[in-house]
Amino acid sequence: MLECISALLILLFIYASVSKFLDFKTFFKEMDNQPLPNSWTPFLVWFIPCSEILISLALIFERTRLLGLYGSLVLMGLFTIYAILILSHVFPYVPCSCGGVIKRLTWRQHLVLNLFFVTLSIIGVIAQRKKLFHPIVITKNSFV
Amino acid sequence: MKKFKWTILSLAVIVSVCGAFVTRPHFDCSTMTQYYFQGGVYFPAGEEGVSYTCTNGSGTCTYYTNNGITYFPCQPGLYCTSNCFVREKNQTGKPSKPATTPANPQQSH
Repeated sequence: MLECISALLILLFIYASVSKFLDFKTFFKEMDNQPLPNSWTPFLVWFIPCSEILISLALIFERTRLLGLYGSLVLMGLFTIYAILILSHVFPYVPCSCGGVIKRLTWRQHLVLNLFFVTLSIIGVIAQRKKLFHPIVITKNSFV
Repeated sequence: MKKFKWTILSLAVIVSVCGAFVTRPHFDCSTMTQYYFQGGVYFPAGEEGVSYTCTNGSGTCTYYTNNGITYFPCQPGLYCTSNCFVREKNQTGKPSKPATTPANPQQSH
């Protein structure tokens, strides 16, 4: 199950980050369009895709998977909060969403997608913690 | 079992990279001069993110043209300048006045 969760998260993060790098100019513009200070754009355009790739790499290897799942939970949590703020009209306007075909989603659909991946990350964290900290103890009686 | 795990993870990486390449836009209309449509006339839109933004909404935000006669939709959404920044004017570094006073408005066809 853990591998399936990791695979789904890797699918999302690698797809999103590669899409951003392939159309970097558009991504830069889309970030400028977000209701955040424009001075943040040069930082965010590198921070977001690079963190997505780093999380994906962490998810691939067993030793770093828990770290990757925590990273994915934090990143997807932040995206979810941002989508909620957009839908609550906290910002002065509603920007277009970005990232490959994901940009075709409405903000409501975005929120549903984000919540799905947040849930997936939580399940992954719980399962991985169980696996790491409560390993199956094989006693002498297990073979009886 | 270990082989199966690696197959799933490798497949996820390959599918996501290929998917990103396949869905990559082949023609990027936003690299061309952008126009917005108002009252039957196309006006130069200015610089995106500086003079204007495309906000979420139905319709076409900006258009592009190859010959100055026919205009094609480019970015979806609503063309938005100062009217978008009422609540947080000057806080986000976005423009606080309309993008352009069109120097060379062009009639639609």
